[in-house]
Amino acid sequence: MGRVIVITSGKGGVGKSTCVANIGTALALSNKKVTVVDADIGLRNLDVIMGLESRVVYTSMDVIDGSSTLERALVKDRRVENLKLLAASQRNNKNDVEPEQMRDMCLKLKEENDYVLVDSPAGIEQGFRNAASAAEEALVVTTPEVSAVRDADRIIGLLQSEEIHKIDLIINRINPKLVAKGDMLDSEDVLDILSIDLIGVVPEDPNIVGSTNRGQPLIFDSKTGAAGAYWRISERIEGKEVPIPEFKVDGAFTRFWGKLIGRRDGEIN
Amino acid sequence: MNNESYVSVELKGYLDGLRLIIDSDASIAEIESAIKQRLANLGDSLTGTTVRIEQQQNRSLSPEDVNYFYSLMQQEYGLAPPDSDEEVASTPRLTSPSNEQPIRGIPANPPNAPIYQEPFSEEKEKAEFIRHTLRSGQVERFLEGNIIVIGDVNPGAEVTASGDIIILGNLRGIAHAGALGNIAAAVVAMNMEPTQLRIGNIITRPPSRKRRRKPMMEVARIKQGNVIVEDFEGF
Repeated sequence: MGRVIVITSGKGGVGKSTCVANIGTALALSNKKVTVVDADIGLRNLDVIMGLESRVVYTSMDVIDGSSTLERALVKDRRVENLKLLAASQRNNKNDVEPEQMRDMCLKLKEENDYVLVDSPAGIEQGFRNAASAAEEALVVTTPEVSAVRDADRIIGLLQSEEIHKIDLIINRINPKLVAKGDMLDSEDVLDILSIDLIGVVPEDPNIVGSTNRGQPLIFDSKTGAAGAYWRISERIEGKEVPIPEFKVDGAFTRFWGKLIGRRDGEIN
Repeated sequence: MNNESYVSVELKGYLDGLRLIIDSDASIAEIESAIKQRLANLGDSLTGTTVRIEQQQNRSLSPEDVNYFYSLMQQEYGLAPPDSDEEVASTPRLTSPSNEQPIRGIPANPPNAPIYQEPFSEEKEKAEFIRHTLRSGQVERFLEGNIIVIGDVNPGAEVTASGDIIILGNLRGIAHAGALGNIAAAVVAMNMEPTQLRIGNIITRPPSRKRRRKPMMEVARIKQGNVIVEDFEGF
Protein backbone atom coordinates (compact mmCIF):
# COMPACT_ATOMS: atom_id res chain seq x y z
CA MET A 1 0.00 0.00 0.00
CA GLY A 2 1.43 3.34 -1.01
CA ARG A 3 0.86 6.95 -0.14
CA VAL A 4 -1.36 9.28 -2.14
CA ILE A 5 -0.02 12.83 -2.03
CA VAL A 6 -1.70 15.79 -3.71
CA ILE A 7 0.52 18.67 -4.84
CA THR A 8 -1.45 21.89 -4.85
CA SER A 9 -1.07 25.65 -4.49
CA GLY A 10 -4.19 27.68 -5.16
CA LYS A 11 -2.36 30.16 -7.33
CA GLY A 12 -1.23 29.09 -10.77
CA GLY A 13 2.30 29.24 -12.11
CA VAL A 14 4.11 28.64 -8.85
CA GLY A 15 5.68 25.38 -10.04
CA LYS A 16 3.36 22.56 -9.00
CA SER A 17 3.88 20.42 -12.10
CA THR A 18 7.64 20.99 -12.05
CA CYS A 19 7.66 19.85 -8.42
CA VAL A 20 5.62 16.75 -9.27
CA ALA A 21 7.88 15.84 -12.20
CA ASN A 22 11.10 16.28 -10.25
CA ILE A 23 10.01 14.81 -6.93
CA GLY A 24 8.32 11.89 -8.70
CA THR A 25 11.46 11.22 -10.71
CA ALA A 26 13.66 11.51 -7.61
CA LEU A 27 11.54 9.00 -5.72
CA ALA A 28 11.63 6.61 -8.69
CA LEU A 29 15.40 7.01 -8.95
CA SER A 30 15.60 5.84 -5.33
CA ASN A 31 13.85 2.63 -6.40
CA LYS A 32 10.34 3.50 -5.32
CA LYS A 33 7.34 2.67 -7.45
CA VAL A 34 5.79 5.97 -8.41
CA THR A 35 2.80 7.02 -10.49
CA VAL A 36 2.23 10.69 -11.18
CA VAL A 37 -1.34 11.68 -11.99
CA ASP A 38 -2.17 14.84 -13.93
CA ALA A 39 -5.46 16.09 -12.49
CA ASP A 40 -5.44 19.25 -14.57
CA ILE A 41 -8.07 18.04 -17.00
CA GLY A 42 -8.41 20.28 -20.03
CA LEU A 43 -5.08 22.01 -19.42
CA ARG A 44 -2.72 19.10 -19.15
CA ASN A 45 1.00 19.72 -19.09
CA LEU A 46 2.62 17.26 -16.73
CA ASP A 47 3.21 14.97 -19.73
CA VAL A 48 4.99 17.82 -21.53
CA ILE A 49 7.21 18.68 -18.58
CA MET A 50 8.14 15.02 -18.21
CA GLY A 51 8.77 14.66 -21.94
CA LEU A 52 6.11 11.96 -22.32
CA GLU A 53 3.61 13.88 -24.44
CA SER A 54 4.18 11.90 -27.63
CA ARG A 55 3.59 8.62 -25.86
CA VAL A 56 0.23 9.37 -24.31
CA VAL A 57 -2.46 7.18 -25.88
CA TYR A 58 -5.13 6.95 -23.21
CA THR A 59 -5.99 9.39 -20.47
CA SER A 60 -7.72 9.21 -17.11
CA MET A 61 -10.93 10.19 -18.93
CA ASP A 62 -10.71 7.02 -21.05
CA VAL A 63 -10.30 4.99 -17.88
CA ILE A 64 -13.36 6.63 -16.34
CA ASP A 65 -15.59 6.09 -19.37
CA GLY A 66 -14.35 2.54 -19.77
CA SER A 67 -12.55 2.81 -23.12
CA SER A 68 -9.26 1.83 -21.55
CA THR A 69 -8.09 -0.11 -18.54
CA LEU A 70 -6.12 1.76 -15.93
CA GLU A 71 -3.11 -0.44 -16.60
CA ARG A 72 -3.10 0.40 -20.30
CA ALA A 73 -3.48 4.16 -19.75
CA LEU A 74 -0.30 4.41 -17.70
CA VAL A 75 2.68 5.75 -19.65
CA LYS A 76 6.00 4.25 -18.59
CA ASP A 77 8.96 6.57 -18.32
CA ARG A 78 11.83 4.97 -20.26
CA ARG A 79 14.58 6.84 -18.42
CA VAL A 80 13.83 5.40 -15.03
CA GLU A 81 12.21 2.23 -13.90
CA ASN A 82 9.05 2.29 -11.80
CA LEU A 83 7.91 5.75 -12.92
CA LYS A 84 4.55 6.02 -14.65
CA LEU A 85 2.29 8.83 -15.72
CA LEU A 86 -1.49 8.94 -15.90
CA ALA A 87 -2.19 11.80 -18.28
CA ALA A 88 -5.17 14.11 -18.23
CA SER A 89 -7.56 14.48 -21.12
CA GLN A 90 -7.16 17.69 -23.05
CA ARG A 91 -10.58 17.43 -24.70
CA ASN A 92 -12.65 17.45 -21.54
CA ASN A 93 -12.87 19.78 -18.61
CA LYS A 94 -12.70 19.48 -14.88
CA ASN A 95 -16.43 19.12 -14.38
CA ASP A 96 -16.50 15.94 -16.45
CA VAL A 97 -14.90 14.04 -13.57
CA GLU A 98 -16.43 13.39 -10.16
CA PRO A 99 -14.29 13.25 -7.03
CA GLU A 100 -15.44 9.64 -6.47
CA GLN A 101 -14.13 8.55 -9.89
CA MET A 102 -10.80 10.20 -9.20
CA ARG A 103 -10.64 8.59 -5.78
CA ASP A 104 -11.37 5.14 -7.16
CA MET A 105 -8.55 5.47 -9.67
CA CYS A 106 -6.05 6.71 -7.10
CA LEU A 107 -6.99 3.98 -4.65
CA LYS A 108 -6.27 1.37 -7.34
CA LEU A 109 -2.95 3.03 -8.13
CA LYS A 110 -2.13 3.19 -4.44
CA GLU A 111 -2.24 -0.60 -4.19
CA GLU A 112 0.50 -1.03 -6.77
CA ASN A 113 2.74 1.91 -5.98
CA ASP A 114 4.80 3.31 -3.17
CA TYR A 115 3.79 6.82 -4.12
CA VAL A 116 0.93 8.31 -6.10
CA LEU A 117 1.56 12.01 -6.70
CA VAL A 118 -1.49 13.94 -7.87
CA ASP A 119 -0.79 17.19 -9.71
CA SER A 120 -3.67 19.48 -8.81
CA PRO A 121 -4.85 22.28 -11.08
CA ALA A 122 -4.73 25.85 -9.81
CA GLY A 123 -7.87 27.18 -8.22
CA ILE A 124 -10.25 26.02 -5.53
CA GLU A 125 -13.02 24.63 -7.70
CA GLN A 126 -13.94 21.11 -8.75
CA GLY A 127 -10.53 20.42 -10.29
CA PHE A 128 -8.91 20.98 -6.92
CA ARG A 129 -11.56 18.92 -5.14
CA ASN A 130 -11.06 16.06 -7.59
CA ALA A 131 -7.32 16.12 -7.01
CA ALA A 132 -7.65 16.29 -3.23
CA SER A 133 -10.39 13.66 -3.01
CA ALA A 134 -8.09 10.65 -2.89
CA ALA A 135 -5.18 12.14 -1.01
CA GLU A 136 -4.26 11.56 2.60
CA GLU A 137 -1.36 13.98 2.44
CA ALA A 138 -0.68 17.22 0.68
CA LEU A 139 2.31 19.23 -0.45
CA VAL A 140 1.42 22.89 -0.76
CA VAL A 141 3.67 24.80 -3.15
CA THR A 142 4.06 28.55 -2.84
CA THR A 143 6.47 31.15 -4.09
CA PRO A 144 7.66 33.86 -1.71
CA GLU A 145 5.10 36.36 -2.95
CA VAL A 146 2.27 37.79 -0.91
CA SER A 147 -0.40 36.77 -3.41
CA ALA A 148 0.84 33.17 -3.65
CA VAL A 149 1.08 32.92 0.13
CA ARG A 150 -2.47 34.22 0.49
CA ASP A 151 -3.76 31.56 -1.91
CA ALA A 152 -1.70 28.86 -0.20
CA ASP A 153 -3.32 29.87 3.10
CA ARG A 154 -6.76 29.51 1.54
CA ILE A 155 -5.84 26.10 0.11
CA ILE A 156 -4.54 24.88 3.47
CA GLY A 157 -7.88 25.79 5.03
CA LEU A 158 -9.72 23.88 2.31
CA LEU A 159 -7.43 20.84 2.65
CA GLN A 160 -8.08 20.79 6.37
CA SER A 161 -11.82 20.88 5.76
CA GLU A 162 -11.34 17.91 3.39
CA GLU A 163 -9.84 16.10 6.39
CA ILE A 164 -6.29 16.17 5.07
CA HIS A 165 -4.12 16.94 8.04
CA LYS A 166 -0.62 16.03 6.94
CA ILE A 167 0.21 19.14 4.97
CA ASP A 168 3.78 20.14 4.18
CA LEU A 169 5.00 23.29 2.55
CA ILE A 170 7.39 23.77 -0.36
CA ILE A 171 8.65 27.29 -0.90
CA ASN A 172 9.60 27.46 -4.54
CA ARG A 173 11.78 29.90 -6.47
CA ILE A 174 13.36 31.74 -3.59
CA ASN A 175 15.91 34.26 -4.81
CA PRO A 176 18.59 34.90 -2.18
CA LYS A 177 19.63 38.19 -3.73
CA LEU A 178 16.11 39.58 -3.61
CA VAL A 179 15.68 38.33 -0.06
CA ALA A 180 18.94 40.02 0.93
CA LYS A 181 17.75 43.26 -0.61
CA GLY A 182 14.57 42.98 1.43
CA ASP A 183 12.42 42.81 -1.71
CA MET A 184 11.36 39.20 -1.30
CA LEU A 185 9.74 37.40 1.60
CA ASP A 186 12.09 34.91 3.20
CA SER A 187 11.00 31.46 4.39
CA GLU A 188 10.46 32.77 7.89
CA ASP A 189 7.95 35.37 6.69
CA VAL A 190 6.07 32.70 4.75
CA LEU A 191 6.04 30.23 7.65
CA ASP A 192 4.91 32.95 10.02
CA ILE A 193 1.66 33.23 8.07
CA LEU A 194 1.12 29.63 7.01
CA SER A 195 2.38 27.90 10.16
CA ILE A 196 2.64 24.40 8.68
CA ASP A 197 5.67 22.13 8.40
CA LEU A 198 8.28 23.16 5.86
CA ILE A 199 9.51 20.26 3.77
CA GLY A 200 11.75 22.15 1.38
CA VAL A 201 12.99 25.42 -0.02
CA VAL A 202 13.78 25.46 -3.74
CA PRO A 203 16.05 28.24 -5.00
CA GLU A 204 15.27 30.01 -8.23
CA ASP A 205 17.29 28.23 -10.90
CA PRO A 206 17.56 29.35 -14.54
CA ASN A 207 18.15 25.72 -15.60
CA ILE A 208 14.53 24.86 -14.76
CA VAL A 209 13.20 26.73 -17.78
CA GLY A 210 15.27 24.74 -20.24
CA SER A 211 14.60 21.42 -18.58
CA THR A 212 10.87 22.09 -18.61
CA ASN A 213 10.90 23.01 -22.27
CA ARG A 214 12.99 19.97 -23.21
CA GLY A 215 10.79 17.66 -21.18
CA GLN A 216 13.71 16.41 -19.15
CA PRO A 217 13.22 16.92 -15.41
CA LEU A 218 16.27 18.72 -14.07
CA ILE A 219 16.87 16.01 -11.53
CA PHE A 220 18.20 13.66 -14.24
CA ASP A 221 21.09 16.00 -15.01
CA SER A 222 21.94 17.88 -11.90
CA LYS A 223 22.41 17.48 -8.19
CA THR A 224 22.71 21.15 -7.29
CA GLY A 225 20.50 24.20 -7.25
CA ALA A 226 16.81 23.44 -7.68
CA ALA A 227 17.51 19.79 -8.49
CA GLY A 228 19.40 19.42 -5.21
CA ALA A 229 16.45 20.89 -3.36
CA TYR A 230 14.05 18.44 -5.06
CA TRP A 231 16.34 15.57 -4.08
CA ARG A 232 16.30 16.62 -0.47
CA ILE A 233 12.50 17.01 -0.55
CA SER A 234 12.14 13.46 -1.88
CA GLU A 235 14.39 12.21 0.91
CA ARG A 236 12.33 14.07 3.51
CA ILE A 237 9.14 12.56 2.05
CA GLU A 238 10.76 9.19 2.69
CA GLY A 239 11.19 10.17 6.29
CA LYS A 240 14.93 10.90 6.29
CA GLU A 241 16.23 13.75 8.39
CA VAL A 242 17.83 16.10 5.90
CA PRO A 243 18.54 19.65 7.04
CA ILE A 244 17.14 22.50 4.96
CA PRO A 245 20.07 24.66 3.87
CA GLU A 246 19.65 28.39 4.09
CA PHE A 247 19.92 30.10 0.75
CA LYS A 248 21.61 33.41 1.30
CA VAL A 249 23.98 35.70 -0.46
CA ASP A 250 26.96 35.62 1.87
CA GLY A 251 26.59 36.39 5.50
CA ALA A 252 24.90 38.99 7.64
CA PHE A 253 27.30 41.74 6.68
CA THR A 254 26.40 41.69 3.00
CA ARG A 255 22.78 41.28 3.96
CA PHE A 256 23.02 44.53 5.89
CA TRP A 257 24.84 46.36 3.11
CA GLY A 258 22.68 44.71 0.50
CA LYS A 259 19.68 46.25 2.13
CA LEU A 260 21.36 49.62 2.32
CA ILE A 261 22.78 49.93 -1.16
CA GLY A 262 20.75 47.31 -3.00
CA ARG A 263 23.83 45.41 -4.10
CA ARG A 264 23.42 43.00 -6.93
CA ASP A 265 26.50 40.79 -6.84
CA GLY A 266 27.18 37.90 -4.45
CA GLU A 267 27.12 34.18 -4.93
CA ILE A 268 24.57 31.63 -3.96
CA ASN A 269 25.99 29.22 -1.41
CA MET B 1 -56.53 38.79 -15.98
CA ASN B 2 -53.17 39.01 -14.32
CA ASN B 3 -53.24 37.27 -10.97
CA GLU B 4 -49.57 37.70 -10.18
CA SER B 5 -48.98 39.79 -7.13
CA TYR B 6 -46.49 42.59 -7.15
CA VAL B 7 -43.51 42.62 -4.80
CA SER B 8 -40.83 45.26 -4.72
CA VAL B 9 -38.21 45.31 -1.98
CA GLU B 10 -35.56 47.95 -2.25
CA LEU B 11 -32.61 48.55 0.03
CA LYS B 12 -31.37 52.13 0.15
CA GLY B 13 -28.59 53.69 2.15
CA TYR B 14 -29.26 56.94 4.01
CA LEU B 15 -27.11 58.86 6.41
CA ASP B 16 -28.98 57.50 9.41
CA GLY B 17 -28.78 53.91 8.25
CA LEU B 18 -30.47 51.71 5.72
CA ARG B 19 -34.07 51.71 4.67
CA LEU B 20 -35.87 48.73 3.31
CA ILE B 21 -38.64 50.05 1.13
CA ILE B 22 -41.45 47.59 0.64
CA ASP B 23 -44.02 48.12 -2.06
CA SER B 24 -46.26 45.16 -2.47
CA ASP B 25 -49.74 43.79 -2.56
CA ALA B 26 -48.54 40.25 -2.01
CA SER B 27 -48.82 38.00 1.00
CA ILE B 28 -46.50 38.19 3.98
CA ALA B 29 -44.76 34.97 2.91
CA GLU B 30 -44.03 36.41 -0.52
CA ILE B 31 -42.68 39.62 0.95
CA GLU B 32 -40.55 37.57 3.34
CA SER B 33 -38.99 35.59 0.54
CA ALA B 34 -38.39 38.81 -1.40
CA ILE B 35 -36.61 40.31 1.62
CA LYS B 36 -34.53 37.19 2.03
CA GLN B 37 -33.63 37.23 -1.63
CA ARG B 38 -32.60 40.87 -1.40
CA LEU B 39 -30.43 40.35 1.69
CA ALA B 40 -29.11 36.88 0.95
CA ASN B 41 -25.86 37.74 -0.78
CA LEU B 42 -24.92 40.74 1.32
CA GLY B 43 -22.94 38.50 3.64
CA ASP B 44 -21.51 40.15 6.70
CA SER B 45 -20.95 43.51 5.12
CA LEU B 46 -23.92 45.16 6.78
CA THR B 47 -23.76 43.45 10.15
CA GLY B 48 -24.66 45.93 12.87
CA THR B 49 -26.17 48.49 10.54
CA THR B 50 -29.52 49.96 11.44
CA VAL B 51 -32.29 49.27 9.01
CA ARG B 52 -35.71 50.84 8.97
CA ILE B 53 -38.69 49.41 7.14
CA GLU B 54 -40.66 51.84 5.04
CA GLN B 55 -43.78 51.15 3.07
CA GLN B 56 -45.25 52.63 -0.01
CA GLN B 57 -48.77 53.92 0.35
CA ASN B 58 -50.63 51.18 -1.48
CA ARG B 59 -50.12 48.59 1.22
CA SER B 60 -49.76 48.89 4.91
CA LEU B 61 -48.31 46.03 6.89
CA SER B 62 -49.56 45.44 10.38
CA PRO B 63 -47.16 46.40 13.22
CA GLU B 64 -46.84 42.68 14.02
CA ASP B 65 -45.69 41.96 10.49
CA VAL B 66 -43.19 44.80 10.60
CA ASN B 67 -41.83 43.57 13.92
CA TYR B 68 -41.58 40.08 12.51
CA PHE B 69 -39.47 41.37 9.63
CA TYR B 70 -37.28 43.34 12.04
CA SER B 71 -36.58 40.25 14.12
CA LEU B 72 -35.99 38.21 10.98
CA MET B 73 -33.42 40.70 9.71
CA GLN B 74 -31.74 40.90 13.07
CA GLN B 75 -31.44 37.17 13.57
CA GLU B 76 -30.50 36.14 10.07
CA TYR B 77 -28.47 39.07 8.84
CA GLY B 78 -27.39 40.96 11.97
CA LEU B 79 -29.24 44.12 10.94
CA ALA B 80 -30.34 46.17 13.93
CA PRO B 81 -33.85 47.60 14.11
CA PRO B 82 -34.21 51.37 14.58
CA ASP B 83 -34.32 52.76 18.09
CA SER B 84 -37.93 53.84 18.14
CA ASP B 85 -40.57 54.84 15.67
CA GLU B 86 -39.38 58.40 15.53
CA GLU B 87 -40.26 60.56 12.57
CA VAL B 88 -38.32 59.57 9.49
CA ALA B 89 -37.25 62.30 7.17
CA SER B 90 -38.42 61.61 3.66
CA THR B 91 -35.22 62.91 2.09
CA PRO B 92 -31.71 61.91 3.03
CA ARG B 93 -29.88 64.27 5.31
CA LEU B 94 -26.81 65.55 3.57
CA THR B 95 -25.08 67.13 6.55
CA SER B 96 -23.68 65.15 9.39
CA PRO B 97 -24.92 65.82 12.90
CA SER B 98 -23.22 68.75 14.60
CA ASN B 99 -22.21 66.83 17.69
CA GLU B 100 -20.09 64.47 15.67
CA GLN B 101 -16.69 63.63 17.07
CA PRO B 102 -13.71 63.53 14.76
CA ILE B 103 -13.48 59.97 13.57
CA ARG B 104 -10.43 58.26 12.17
CA GLY B 105 -11.83 55.99 9.52
CA ILE B 106 -15.20 55.80 7.90
CA PRO B 107 -18.31 55.35 9.98
CA ALA B 108 -20.24 52.32 8.73
CA ASN B 109 -23.37 54.11 9.87
CA PRO B 110 -23.56 57.48 11.54
CA PRO B 111 -22.13 57.96 15.03
CA ASN B 112 -25.48 58.87 16.50
CA ALA B 113 -27.09 55.67 15.28
CA PRO B 114 -28.98 53.90 18.03
CA ILE B 115 -26.80 51.64 20.09
CA TYR B 116 -28.06 48.14 20.35
CA GLN B 117 -28.42 46.99 23.94
CA GLU B 118 -26.63 43.77 24.70
CA PRO B 119 -29.22 41.14 25.56
CA PHE B 120 -27.10 39.42 28.21
CA SER B 121 -26.12 40.45 31.70
CA GLU B 122 -22.61 41.53 32.53
CA GLU B 123 -21.82 38.72 34.93
CA LYS B 124 -22.17 35.84 32.51
CA GLU B 125 -21.38 36.46 28.89
CA LYS B 126 -21.37 33.91 26.17
CA ALA B 127 -18.22 33.27 24.21
CA GLU B 128 -17.39 31.15 21.23
CA PHE B 129 -14.04 29.40 21.24
CA ILE B 130 -12.18 28.82 18.01
CA ARG B 131 -9.33 26.47 18.61
CA HIS B 132 -7.52 26.77 15.32
CA THR B 133 -6.01 29.33 13.00
CA LEU B 134 -8.48 31.10 10.74
CA ARG B 135 -7.05 31.02 7.25
CA SER B 136 -7.77 33.17 4.24
CA GLY B 137 -11.44 32.86 3.24
CA GLN B 138 -12.58 31.49 6.59
CA VAL B 139 -15.20 33.52 8.42
CA GLU B 140 -16.34 33.18 12.03
CA ARG B 141 -19.37 35.05 13.22
CA PHE B 142 -20.96 35.03 16.66
CA LEU B 143 -23.67 37.56 17.41
CA GLU B 144 -24.51 36.43 20.92
CA GLY B 145 -21.34 37.47 22.69
CA ASN B 146 -17.58 37.27 22.48
CA ILE B 147 -15.17 35.30 20.34
CA ILE B 148 -11.90 33.86 21.53
CA VAL B 149 -9.54 32.58 18.87
CA ILE B 150 -6.75 30.30 19.97
CA GLY B 151 -4.58 30.70 16.89
CA ASP B 152 -4.02 33.32 14.24
CA VAL B 153 -6.45 35.27 12.12
CA ASN B 154 -4.66 35.36 8.78
CA PRO B 155 -5.03 37.94 6.02
CA GLY B 156 -8.28 37.28 4.19
CA ALA B 157 -9.99 35.77 7.26
CA GLU B 158 -12.73 37.54 9.22
CA VAL B 159 -14.00 37.36 12.80
CA THR B 160 -17.22 39.08 13.78
CA ALA B 161 -18.69 39.19 17.27
CA SER B 162 -21.38 41.23 18.94
CA GLY B 163 -19.09 41.52 21.95
CA ASP B 164 -15.33 41.49 22.34
CA ILE B 165 -12.84 39.60 20.22
CA ILE B 166 -9.79 38.09 21.83
CA ILE B 167 -7.13 36.59 19.61
CA LEU B 168 -4.44 34.52 21.24
CA GLY B 169 -2.22 34.80 18.20
CA ASN B 170 -1.59 37.16 15.32
CA LEU B 171 -4.42 39.30 14.02
CA ARG B 172 -3.69 39.94 10.35
CA GLY B 173 -7.16 39.72 8.86
CA ILE B 174 -10.35 41.60 9.67
CA ALA B 175 -11.89 41.75 13.14
CA HIS B 176 -15.28 43.29 13.82
CA ALA B 177 -16.15 43.64 17.50
CA GLY B 178 -19.44 45.02 18.74
CA ALA B 179 -20.98 44.08 15.44
CA LEU B 180 -24.50 44.89 16.55
CA GLY B 181 -23.47 48.40 17.44
CA ASN B 182 -21.80 48.01 20.83
CA ILE B 183 -19.13 50.70 20.66
CA ALA B 184 -17.75 49.67 24.03
CA ALA B 185 -16.47 46.42 22.51
CA ALA B 186 -12.77 45.78 22.17
CA VAL B 187 -10.39 43.71 20.08
CA VAL B 188 -7.45 42.16 21.88
CA ALA B 189 -4.64 40.38 20.05
CA MET B 190 -1.21 39.07 20.92
CA ASN B 191 0.08 40.74 17.78
CA MET B 192 -2.05 43.44 16.24
CA GLU B 193 -1.44 43.77 12.49
CA PRO B 194 -4.99 43.78 11.10
CA THR B 195 -5.98 44.43 7.51
CA GLN B 196 -8.93 46.30 8.93
CA LEU B 197 -10.48 46.81 12.34
CA ARG B 198 -14.16 47.42 12.88
CA ILE B 199 -15.64 48.29 16.23
CA GLY B 200 -19.34 49.00 16.46
CA ASN B 201 -20.02 51.10 13.44
CA ILE B 202 -16.51 52.44 12.92
CA ILE B 203 -14.18 51.00 10.31
CA THR B 204 -10.48 51.75 10.47
CA ARG B 205 -7.37 50.50 8.86
CA PRO B 206 -3.92 50.60 10.35
CA PRO B 207 -1.44 53.22 9.19
CA SER B 208 0.18 52.06 5.97
CA ARG B 209 3.63 52.32 7.50
CA LYS B 210 4.60 48.82 8.43
CA ARG B 211 5.52 48.32 12.05
CA ARG B 212 8.29 45.91 12.77
CA ARG B 213 8.59 45.51 16.46
CA LYS B 214 8.37 42.87 19.07
CA PRO B 215 4.81 41.54 19.09
CA MET B 216 2.99 42.35 22.28
CA MET B 217 -0.55 42.02 23.48
CA GLU B 218 -2.56 45.05 22.46
CA VAL B 219 -6.14 46.18 22.72
CA ALA B 220 -8.12 48.25 20.24
CA ARG B 221 -11.18 50.16 21.37
CA ILE B 222 -13.05 53.36 20.71
CA LYS B 223 -11.96 56.35 22.72
CA GLN B 224 -13.57 59.69 21.95
CA GLY B 225 -14.67 58.55 18.57
CA ASN B 226 -11.28 57.19 17.54
CA VAL B 227 -10.14 53.62 17.45
CA ILE B 228 -7.10 53.58 19.70
CA VAL B 229 -4.63 50.71 19.91
CA GLU B 230 -2.65 50.49 23.12
CA ASP B 231 -0.84 47.98 25.29
CA PHE B 232 -3.24 45.59 26.91
CA GLU B 233 -3.43 45.88 30.66
CA GLY B 234 -6.72 44.13 31.33
CA PHE B 235 -10.24 45.28 30.63
